[in-house]
Amino acid sequence: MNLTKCLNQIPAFSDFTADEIDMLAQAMATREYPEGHVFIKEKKSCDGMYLILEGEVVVTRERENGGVDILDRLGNGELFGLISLIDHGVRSATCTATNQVTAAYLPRSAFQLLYQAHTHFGYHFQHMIARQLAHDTMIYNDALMHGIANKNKYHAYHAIKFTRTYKGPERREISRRDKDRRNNISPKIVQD
Amino acid sequence: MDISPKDFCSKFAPICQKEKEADILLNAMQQRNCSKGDILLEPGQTNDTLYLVWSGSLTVSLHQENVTIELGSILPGGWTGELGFIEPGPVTATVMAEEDTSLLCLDQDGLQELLDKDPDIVIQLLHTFSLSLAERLRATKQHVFKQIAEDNFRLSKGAPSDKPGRWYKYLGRKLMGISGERS
Repeated sequence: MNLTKCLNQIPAFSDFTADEIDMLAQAMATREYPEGHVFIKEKKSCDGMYLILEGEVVVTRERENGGVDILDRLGNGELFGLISLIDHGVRSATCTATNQVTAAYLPRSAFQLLYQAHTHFGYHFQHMIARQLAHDTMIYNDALMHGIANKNKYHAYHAIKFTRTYKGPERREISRRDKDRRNNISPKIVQD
Repeated sequence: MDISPKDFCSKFAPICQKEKEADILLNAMQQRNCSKGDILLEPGQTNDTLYLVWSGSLTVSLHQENVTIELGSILPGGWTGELGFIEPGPVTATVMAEEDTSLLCLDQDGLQELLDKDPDIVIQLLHTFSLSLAERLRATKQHVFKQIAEDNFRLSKGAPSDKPGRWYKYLGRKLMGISGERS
């Protein structure tokens, strides 16, 4: 897929002018990556952004007690590593090629050169990154709230279950006598 | 409340370091005072305004049914509302004045005014907010993933499981659903 054409079709770049798209395309390097290639590793830093031109990339996260969870699957025309252009921190997920992937890569150094030299390009790109971060923050806030609600339901369910099964010391004694009666076990009579 | 560009630069150094830029920013902003206990933002509202705390403090919390998570306080020199300012939309957290608080507000008209006068200020503003958002997103992700780990541990009764937990399924759906451009 032609890089300029692909960039033009991505909604995130809809605010960019034709010249800005051309500048961006020239700063990106396109190459092919084999199946299993790890673009971004969880808990490691990353220094650039990738645009998938062809192929699929899976986004995963390791569990603390072993195993891996799939967070997302990215296809043609999707971006990842965008935040690493401005944030030098470690990444929270791993991005791996599930088949042969053709991707365009924008290193942080190239981004900074473009950003400092062209005010409007800098504004559009900063706005795009900020918008992406705002979206992600909203999603994770929402997930946090969803999780809290589920946790509440879990505790409420167990509280109801507990109150139904818990009989208290007195009722427990009665139910034991009932059980004994049902089993025809008469109380022992102690004779002098 | 009379704020000089010099005072603004000393309090909001990450946003603005030059007095000339601070003067332009101050002209594009409005001042607002909140009394203790006033709710500035709450879920259900839509917001497109950025609030800078000049004096006093604000608390940010998430509420769900009977549970409240305190996310922290915003002290003088801090800001809130940047999510809605960047991407106008519904408010996700409750922001309340912890004491009598003075704020500087920048709405979308003010942003446009800044863009016309000095786009470099807006770029610096967005860059500062992006860094702050990235940091906050990382903290929220850690919180979410910690909850996911606890949830999965409880559901699997301590045994490792290959099945994705409910949270991951939910998160995956949201991540794929919210960006409609994804194929």
